[in-house]
Amino acid sequence: MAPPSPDQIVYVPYSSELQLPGIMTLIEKDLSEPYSIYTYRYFINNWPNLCFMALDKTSSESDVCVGVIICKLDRHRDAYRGYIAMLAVKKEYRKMKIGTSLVKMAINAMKSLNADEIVLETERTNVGALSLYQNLGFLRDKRLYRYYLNGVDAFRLKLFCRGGGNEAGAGSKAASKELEDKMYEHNRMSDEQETNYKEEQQD
Amino acid sequence: MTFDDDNKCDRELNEVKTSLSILSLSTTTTASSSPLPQPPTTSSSLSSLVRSVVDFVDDSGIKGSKPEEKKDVIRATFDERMREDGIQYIGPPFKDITKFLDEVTEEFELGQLVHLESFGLYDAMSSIEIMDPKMDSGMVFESDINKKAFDPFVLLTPKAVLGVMDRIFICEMTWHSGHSLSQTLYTCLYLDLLDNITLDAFASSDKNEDSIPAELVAIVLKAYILGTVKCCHLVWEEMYKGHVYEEEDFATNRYGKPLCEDKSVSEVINLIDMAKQWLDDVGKTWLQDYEQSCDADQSSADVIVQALNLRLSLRKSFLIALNNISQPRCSQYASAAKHLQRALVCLNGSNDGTGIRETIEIGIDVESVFDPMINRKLVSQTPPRPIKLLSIEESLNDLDNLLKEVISICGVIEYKSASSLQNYFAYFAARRPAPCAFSRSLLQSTLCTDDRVLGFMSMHQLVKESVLELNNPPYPYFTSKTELITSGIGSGSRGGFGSSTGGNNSDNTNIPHLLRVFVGNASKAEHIDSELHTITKEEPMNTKDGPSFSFYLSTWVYHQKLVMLEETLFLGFELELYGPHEYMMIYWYLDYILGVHNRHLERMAVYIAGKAAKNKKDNRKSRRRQSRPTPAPPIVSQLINKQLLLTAKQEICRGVYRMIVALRKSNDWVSPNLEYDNENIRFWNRTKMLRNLGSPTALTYADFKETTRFPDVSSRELLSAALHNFETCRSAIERLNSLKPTETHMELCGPEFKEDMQNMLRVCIGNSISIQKMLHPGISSSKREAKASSIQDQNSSTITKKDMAIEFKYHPWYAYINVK
Ligand SMILES: CC(C)(COP(=O)(O)OP(=O)(O)OC[C@H]1O[C@@H](n2cnc3c(N)ncnc32)[C@H](O)[C@@H]1OP(=O)(O)O)[C@@H](O)C(=O)NCCC(=O)NCCS
Repeated sequence: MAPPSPDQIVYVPYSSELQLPGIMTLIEKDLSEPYSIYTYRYFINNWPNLCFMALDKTSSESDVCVGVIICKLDRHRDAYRGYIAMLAVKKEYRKMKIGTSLVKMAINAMKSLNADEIVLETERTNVGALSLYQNLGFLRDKRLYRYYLNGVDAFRLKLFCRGGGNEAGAGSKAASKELEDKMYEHNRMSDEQETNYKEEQQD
Repeated sequence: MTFDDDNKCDRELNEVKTSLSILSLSTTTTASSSPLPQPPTTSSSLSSLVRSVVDFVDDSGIKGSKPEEKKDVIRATFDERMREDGIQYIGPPFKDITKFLDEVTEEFELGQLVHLESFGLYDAMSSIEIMDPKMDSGMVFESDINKKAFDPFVLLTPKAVLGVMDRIFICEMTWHSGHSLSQTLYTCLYLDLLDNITLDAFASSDKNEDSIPAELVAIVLKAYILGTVKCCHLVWEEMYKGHVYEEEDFATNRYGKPLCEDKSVSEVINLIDMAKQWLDDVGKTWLQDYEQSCDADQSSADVIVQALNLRLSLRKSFLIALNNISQPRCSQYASAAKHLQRALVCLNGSNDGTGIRETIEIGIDVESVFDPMINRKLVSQTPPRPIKLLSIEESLNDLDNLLKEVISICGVIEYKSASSLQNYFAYFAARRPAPCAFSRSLLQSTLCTDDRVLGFMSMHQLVKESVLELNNPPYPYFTSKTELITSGIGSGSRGGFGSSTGGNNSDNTNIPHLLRVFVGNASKAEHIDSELHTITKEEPMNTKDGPSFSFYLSTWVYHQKLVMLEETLFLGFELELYGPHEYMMIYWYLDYILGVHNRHLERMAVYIAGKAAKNKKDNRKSRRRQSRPTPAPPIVSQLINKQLLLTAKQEICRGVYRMIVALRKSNDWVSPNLEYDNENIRFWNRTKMLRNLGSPTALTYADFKETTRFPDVSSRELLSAALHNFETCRSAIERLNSLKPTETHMELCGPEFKEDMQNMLRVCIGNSISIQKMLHPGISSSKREAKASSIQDQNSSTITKKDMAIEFKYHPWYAYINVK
């Protein structure tokens, strides 16, 4: 079989329960333990608009789904938080930017719904996923100690969609920082002074 | 994907609720760590009841894809199980509604699901699919039914006994590493039968054809297992206090089973002694004959006896030590340390003796003694997930670390000062490999149990000493009148000491929380300070800015707060949280915080020295003594030493960020193009915690841009400045290294501190060499020495990014920019 080419791939939003078995098969391939079907339903039934699939037009009906992303978006403390629950791309189709495209679709969808931030967790050892997300601007927000059952640490990655903005009066603070720097240089006890103290202390 | 962890405390609860919430069947199935033993029969039948009910609904209430391959599975129906268990359930009788459910669900659309409104993510994730062997712990397999029941009265050869011992040991350490008892220790089938395993019982079971002595199991193995269970019990009691935060760190669920509470430690130790005695008196001789009859070489009997003895000795020492440690008020830590040392010798051997490590090949596996699926018989709502036990080597190494950590903790009671205790805590958390859950919990308990710090002083007293060490307030500050006021600070300031132990360093979630507590303290402290000014009738010092009061407490709180802030920011490097494109910003911010801290101590030193000088003058006036220079109080030189360390840290941070700025200026440092990244937003969010603290004044993104532009400074000048920073850092460290541990408050962690300083030096040297290479490209290192002082050719600095690597190989906090 010839290696798949990018123009074979179409991206579609989730539309029917009939797509679920294909999605599950795809995701389960990379899991050490299966999720119950309720876990999939929890996300997909509640946020069907945040589930996107990559399909190979040339494939047969049963394995047409070659990539999927599943998310949710709800309130978390004082933020409206998007959460990428699952992402997978079929082995033979990796390294073709399918993963990146799916994540971008999800980010754009969540941003258009006013998400403040988007988070996800991934294993420290998952080099592929880590660099995919970091290339898009996700930051490592937290290290989760032995997060997974296999004892591996995980990172919580976060993309901030909000913050910063116009900071009034910043200039004056910059000046104050410089001032503080100067003061610091000035105030720093000279070596001489210090030795004095030492000697004094000894006698 | 797994749980979104922010509701972790709810998780346990949710696991208990599990899929049962669909049924609102709120029976007595609280699986979570009940300290009370439950009769095993009840628990197992209850769990199978629960499973049956879940079966019932899951199969019929939902339409969708179902797992196949159910043929090799035999299902007990609901009714059968009830009858089997022979239990009378109170309440209305159950009614089989399978058929009814089948009928009504005919009307469902594909994918429709009936559930309570409250059925959320946790419920969904902890639900199981009935009859899926990977999830359903209630399934009964063909192989289970034909399995022979475990016979505890099978005689075991000495090698088999060793095999069982080692496997139990592996189970114990795997439990320590965070897995549940049900998948580790409990898999040993002897566990429930220990009381029945007696010599008499063996005699009546009459199986002794090989003339293997029953004592090997009934005395030797039994004593070892009891010793292990007792150790686990003592560890469990420590862990049950709940000092270790994340639930993943340690599993305290006992599934209602006893852990040998009915036997005292001394009873168990007697049994171990008896076993050793038997081995020496009888076992050895028998074994020599036996081994000979097996054509083994002469020495093998001795080796086996020694291997058995070593394991029993280790168990004994470990048990005594754990028992010592569990005594109130840290009263037996010294003895514990002695026994732990002995355990270490058993483990690793000594110059003149073998250790367990060298005997791990002798044992042989006895699979029939362990049932990895035992947890199906226990009350548990979570589906079992297969685990991998540690290897014997990993287990030995884990125990080795544990013993060393606990020995080190036992040494803390040699209390020297509040500061040295605090330093000990910081270096303990930085240990690699990360300290295990048990020792972290133990350190917490040692720090404070029943408001006793190290068993002998109150938290208030510790805070008092800490304040005294920092800025030596006048005596009335801590008399009974003010006690009430200051103890308010004490109760909230445990954080300063405990911040690093709640988690190990790989857990930085805790500090920001403590910081918030501290912010509350800061305003409280200021308030108390002003009250104290009145009480102590303090005279203000006259400074150029007018009269100034001392604010002893708020000064202390601010100092502690800055310590925590620095630690939090530095930890981000250690935990690999920052991307390379963020380094400059973080080091820039650290430079600022460290500078603030340094000045804070500076002001304090000046104030205290001034006060001391004034007192002296007053004294002199009255006594007219000779005019020698005024000695500074020791407290001032302590402050200076603290400043020295801050200077060292600040200079490295400044050096590194200047290096990065220089590299950016010369286009050697290219920031990656990250599609959704926005530096302003990033700055704002990364510094959120700092902004919410009130003080020190938070810096803004505009500040950052402004102060890192250096419009009039060339890349080379920046590099030279950085070089200077690293040099200053080096001389600060050299001075620190020349101080005695008592002067730096590092009495409890001297070697760790030395190593830390050494590593910082390495970073300085590495970076300095890199800078030299950039300033003088093309000059080989020997020539560079000579030319180092003459920087002439302005345009030669050309390196590209691929020649550079940012490394943390010397120190986890400070970047080494390696220019190749
Ligand atoms: C992670 C995963 C979804 C990536 O899918 P993908 O379609 O191959 O990703 P992309 O082609 O979009 O890769 C984007 C970038 O990620 C990085 N990357 C992806 N896979 C990588 C790998 N195996 N090693 C190193 N980097 C990798 C690369 O930097 C790549 O950029 P580049 O092509 O310019 O070098 C896929 O590997 C996968 O399904 N893994 C198993 C499931 C999983 O781990 N999911 C994530 C859990 S949250």
